[in-house]
Amino acid sequence: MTNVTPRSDIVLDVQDAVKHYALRRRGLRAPRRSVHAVDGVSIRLHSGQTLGIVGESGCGKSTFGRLITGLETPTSGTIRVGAHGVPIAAAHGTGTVQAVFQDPASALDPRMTVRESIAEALGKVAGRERERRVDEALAAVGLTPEFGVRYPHELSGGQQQRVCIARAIVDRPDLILLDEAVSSLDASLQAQILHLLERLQQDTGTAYVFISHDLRAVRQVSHSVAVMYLGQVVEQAPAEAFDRGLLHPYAVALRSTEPRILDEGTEHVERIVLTGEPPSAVSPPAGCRFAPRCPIAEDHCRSVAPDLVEATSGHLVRCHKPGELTLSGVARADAEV
Amino acid sequence: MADAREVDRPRKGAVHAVSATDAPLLAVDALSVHYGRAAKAAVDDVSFTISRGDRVGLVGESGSGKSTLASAILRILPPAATVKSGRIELDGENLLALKPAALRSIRSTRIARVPQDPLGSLNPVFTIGRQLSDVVSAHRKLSRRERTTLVEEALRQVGIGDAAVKRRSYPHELSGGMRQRVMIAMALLNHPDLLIADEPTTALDVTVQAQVIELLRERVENSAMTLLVISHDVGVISELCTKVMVMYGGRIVEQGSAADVLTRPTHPYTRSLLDAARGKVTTYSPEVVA
Repeated sequence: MTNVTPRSDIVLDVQDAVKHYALRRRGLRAPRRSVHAVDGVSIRLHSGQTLGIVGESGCGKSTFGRLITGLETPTSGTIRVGAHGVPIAAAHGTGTVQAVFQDPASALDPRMTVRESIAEALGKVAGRERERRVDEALAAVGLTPEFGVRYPHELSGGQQQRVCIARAIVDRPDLILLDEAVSSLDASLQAQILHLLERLQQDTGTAYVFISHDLRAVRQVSHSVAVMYLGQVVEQAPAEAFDRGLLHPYAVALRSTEPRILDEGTEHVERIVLTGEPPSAVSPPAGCRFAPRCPIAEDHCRSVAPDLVEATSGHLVRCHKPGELTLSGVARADAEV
Repeated sequence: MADAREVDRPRKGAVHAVSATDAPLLAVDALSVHYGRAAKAAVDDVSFTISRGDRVGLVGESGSGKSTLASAILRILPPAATVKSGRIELDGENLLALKPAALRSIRSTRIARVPQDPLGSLNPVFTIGRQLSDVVSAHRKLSRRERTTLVEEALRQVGIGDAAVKRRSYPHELSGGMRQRVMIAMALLNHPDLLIADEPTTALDVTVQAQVIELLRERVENSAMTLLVISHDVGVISELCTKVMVMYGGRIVEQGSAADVLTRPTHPYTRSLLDAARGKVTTYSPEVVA
């Protein structure tokens, strides 16, 4: 875009983004209904930082990802990307934002070689420069030049995902969306790819939005974490706060229910198993959206929707009774700090 | 834990039918399965036994042969796969030698399976009540009313409260967690001796996954059933099982009690699998939470 000095190191600025999908009406006189996929999300992300977004299927995390990459237009709200704060609609197609999705096999064109796939992201860069940049990107993701002439079906899943990452970084974007980018990979490969992503970020200062249902992976790579439930952010905290004490009952429950590996000294782990499943995003509950499943909900919670407020510095929570539901273990770890 | 670790224990000529009590429920002996003309075996000379009441976890990454092994036990291998050698014995009876009719009588009543993908395993044009009822009538002559009672009871046992209403639903009307509950109800209908759960929670969200794990554990404990769980997720195995087998490259590289294998792994592959699963951020390891 235009050559102005960067106004700040903010590379993603989302203000009150809303995305509703209209549903087909059941009859001429039937009310208009819509799926509230994303309902008022505001987020800022600095360069070199990773924002993790975690939540269950249907919570709106992938729709949010599609909004910040310009694949969907928001119903309302503003989304600015890059160091110059360009609206996403204008930045679309400029390579400011890149994305890596869950299934690398379907993300790569089966008729293009690895080199062609990566070079395609370079747009107008031509000649020797183009070749050099592709070589660099291949090397950065740990693939030897021989891989360049191969086709996607000749690669393993992990190698395919490396190609997708190479394609995302080759044009040096300000922001990369990683939507369940490691979810389909085996545990040992996941660790490798996460490590690779961390290393690339240290080298280039690219910001990541890391979307996953896997709390463990999100925690591992993120500087700050946002927990989404039914289209809203219910808790947003620096990663360190995530280790000590979560405040929203949903976040606490989400973390407690994660399957854990037996370890010495952890014979009995307290867990909060939520009943039921998230309600429909077509007609979200009137009060707090989590109230129908919340173990500590009161009448007040069911009638008045809480706002996202700052509980402690940088730690936002959307709850009337923040911090009241705890894991005894987390409380203990807190006391020791 | 009393039982010693067995690393690649050779088992030639499995002992069986010594007495009803200490004979293993399931004995797999030197089993090898190949796909097509591939020289490399998908399951390579695998031997193990499962005793009554055991809750065994089979963990490995994709391509390790764990699902092929489970399919071989149920005799539902795809046409391309052939059993090259070995025996699979249920209470001393070689499953690989059974004729189709005998096999049908064993499936669901002696060995049942909870699949990974409930939607792909349910027929979209019949109600779940009808499909559950079919599972009963395949093995027992009961009146329609008796079958309905059984089906509703089974649905209630897996936490579907309004069974009388829910049994009339079609698979697409249910959520993923509900469908998996239906599959568990279906697997338990004929009170099998051995329940094989193949990636039972992989397709589910974390909070629903926790519900299904709790349900499986509760059902297995209440019915003295033997459980074989197959998963790539060490966490799920750790939550459900008392014994663990680790598969790599078609072989079982380590087996023993869950406490031993998961806390003091001896095989380097098991160690790396556990490291990877735990992530390298030590501050988010289980000991901080517990």
